[in-house]
Parts: sequence; structure tokens; C-alpha cells
Amino acid sequence: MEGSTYDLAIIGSGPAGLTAGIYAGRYLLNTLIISRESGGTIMEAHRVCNFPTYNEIRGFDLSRKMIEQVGELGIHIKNETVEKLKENDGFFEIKTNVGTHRSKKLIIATGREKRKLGVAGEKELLGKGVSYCATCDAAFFKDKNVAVIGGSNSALTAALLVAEYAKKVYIIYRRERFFRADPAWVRITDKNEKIEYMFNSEVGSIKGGNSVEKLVLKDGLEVEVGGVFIEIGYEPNREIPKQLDLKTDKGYIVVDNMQKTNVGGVFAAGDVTNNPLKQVITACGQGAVAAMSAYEELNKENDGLKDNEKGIQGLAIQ
Amino acid sequence: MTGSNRVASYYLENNKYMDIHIKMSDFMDEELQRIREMKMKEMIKNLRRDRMETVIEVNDESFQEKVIEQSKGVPVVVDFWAQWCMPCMMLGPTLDKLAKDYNEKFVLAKVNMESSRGLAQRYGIMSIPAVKMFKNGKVVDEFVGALPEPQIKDWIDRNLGDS
Repeated sequence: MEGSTYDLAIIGSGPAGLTAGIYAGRYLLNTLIISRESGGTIMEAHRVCNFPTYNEIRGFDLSRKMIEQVGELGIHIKNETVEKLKENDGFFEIKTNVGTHRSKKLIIATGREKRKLGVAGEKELLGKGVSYCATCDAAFFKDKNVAVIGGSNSALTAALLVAEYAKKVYIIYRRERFFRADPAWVRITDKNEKIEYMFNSEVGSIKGGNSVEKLVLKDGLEVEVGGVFIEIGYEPNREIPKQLDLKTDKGYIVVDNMQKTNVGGVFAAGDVTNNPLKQVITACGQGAVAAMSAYEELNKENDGLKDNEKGIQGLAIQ
Repeated sequence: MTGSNRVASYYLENNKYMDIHIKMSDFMDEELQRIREMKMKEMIKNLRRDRMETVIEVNDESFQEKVIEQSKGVPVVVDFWAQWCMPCMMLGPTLDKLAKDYNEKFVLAKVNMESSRGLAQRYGIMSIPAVKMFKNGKVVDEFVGALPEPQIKDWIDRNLGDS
């Protein structure tokens, strides 16, 4: 593990990273995929209904199939946490909790995570009434008053699910109406008698002892609830772009249509990029292009070396 | 002196040369039988040990014995999960792997929330996956959510270390 130099290291193993892995495998690049956990956020998707070849498939199963395909190509996924990325003498050094890896090219496919509210009590009461997964936890709030924070489709669908168990569901949203949700969903939540809207409201803190007892809004109003579901969208990992000096837009890595970033040898794909559509299919497409771009660059550099009679370093084509 | 030598000298001493052949074969059968029994016992012991089961399923009824009581001898890590919870499905295989890797240093007990509502209430479960470490019948540490493997390992090491 230590000392070996890969042609390509892919950080992240969601659809973007895995597709990049499949392409890199078929280009016979000596490839490493490093990922905190295998699968990416799509694993948590209840159903995926817009990925060609499947009318409907669980995100978990789709992810497993991709991981299997990568495995068939002989590419290893190392479940390690990346701590530090830096460029050193024309190579990238990837320091993880286990060791240090070296590679010639890098694809960042770290995706994004559920955004946190960032208020007092949120972290402390996680698992004690604070939840980021309505499908997981709705059933534990039978006959309780519950708040859902957010105003997107995911907030509204979470509220509908929670309302199947809870006594009352408050949707707390900072804007004056649901700008970002599909009207079809809004019509359904409008009709649900258990759901009450609280617009122009922002949570200031979450209070409770052993479990959530109330929310204190920024205007001072208190809402007594036994649970809070936070559905305020997603956020990309900001640490890696910072370490590599990658150009970002609202935290998302800026790429061109070859998936190149502003730093030579570094490509990015999937939800972590500033792409306009964050879906499995677009992530896969970007992953494929990123692998091809890396492959082309490696080829060129290899030819360049031969021309200069520096000897053949060779792609890892065995 | 081995058993067969012992019996041979007995027969020689008692001038029963003629019988030796027959009696020896009887004895050999006996000894074989004894070896067979010993092997059998060993196999059963190994089987039991394998089945001291590092990964078990428990419910409202078996929780007292399999978790509370068992945790007085070996730490028990309880995974509260459900089929409808995708992060639980992600976490499950990681915990299975760790249970195997740690080779009997702890027992992994899985509680399906669908069929064990009583336990959900008793332990105040409001978010799954919820993982709790039991020692001496009590919860000593816990975490919520599908943490990455390195973090879970740290959590286990930290908690096994204090025992």
C-alpha cells in the first residue's frame, strides 16, 4: 500500500466515482478508489425511478451493482478517510487515516451531504429527536408534535410521511411560501389536516434534556415538539477543494466539459461539481468523462517522456 | 504406558497368549470408540464456540438473556435497525465485518425495529441506525447514523479498552 504510485486515484464511491472507476478499469489504468464508505448518498434513496434500464430500483441496490462491477474489473475500493491531499513533485499525495497513497491523476467525486441547521442543540440532540432521515425515523414519533424544517420537495414529502404517525406536523420555513417545491406536493400538504405551515420562521435553537422538547425561533417564538426533521438540502464537502486550491462556486467545484478543474491533473465529477442537475445519470456521465480526460493526459505525458528520451515510465498496462 | 501395551502385558502375564489376538482387537475397537468420542466432543465444543455466535438476532423476548445477561461476560454491541432505513442497510454489513474481524471480542446483536417495538421504547430509540454498547447489563456508549468504518473501529476500541 505504502510506496506504490497509482495512475489514478478517485476520491468518493458514489455513482460518479464508481463510473470513473469502471472506465479507468477498462483503460487498464492502475486505479485506486478511496472512500469513507462505499456507495454514496444514492444508497439512501428509497427508490430511483429515472435511471435507464430500471423502472424502479432501490438506491441501495443500484449502488451495490455498481460496486460489484468495479470489483469485477479488479479495482479495489479502500474504505479510508482522506485527511490531507497535496501536490508534491508532480504527484498527488493522499494521506488517509490508514496511510499515504500516491497517484499521478486525481478525480474528486466526494458528492454532498445533508445540510445541518447549525444551531445550538442540534448536535447534542441527534438521535434524541433530531433527525435527518424521515423515512428512517418517522415511525418513532407516533402521536407526537413534530417539526419539519425546510421548504423543498424533500421537506414536504418528509412532512407527509411524518404526518402518518405524528399528532401534528409544523413545517417551518424561512421564506413566505414554498418557492422551491413542486406545486403538486404543495397541493397535497395543503389538504393534510395534521400539517401546519410556519412561514418566515427560522430556528434559533433546539432545546431539550433527554430528548427534544421545544424549538426556539429567531423571533423568540417557542414551538413545543418532540422531534425535528431537518430537510434543508445538501452541501458539498468543502475541505478537499480548499486543500487543493480548487475554484468553487457556492462550495461546488467548478469544472469544464472535460471535467477539468483549475488545477492541472485534478478532475471532478458528480454532485460535488457545479453541474446543473444532481442526479445519478449525470454523475455517471461526468465520471466517465473525467476518467477519459485523466487517461488522455496520462497518454500524452507518457508520449512526451518518450519523445524526450527520458525513458518509458509506462502506463500501468500489464 | 499406552492402553494397548497395558492390555498386552496383562494377557502375557496371565498366560493367555491364545486370547491376545481376539482381545486386542476388542480393545482396539474400544480405543477407536474412545477416540471417536473425544473427537466428537471437540467438534461439538468448536461448533458451540463458533455458535457463541458473534452475530445474533434478538427481539423483545430474547433481549434479556442474549444482551443483558450475555453482556456480563462479553461486551454486546446492539444494532437497532429496520428494513425501511437505508442508512441501516449501509451500516449492517460494516458491523458484520467488524464483528468477524474482532473475533469474539464482542457479540453483535441485531434488533429489528419492525418486530421489537418494546425495545425501541425502552431504550428511547428515536433515530436509526442506533448502535449501543452493553457491558454488565448496561449501556456504556452509543452512536447514531451510518458512521464510516474507521470511526466505528475507534468507537469499539475505545469501549473495549476500558473493560
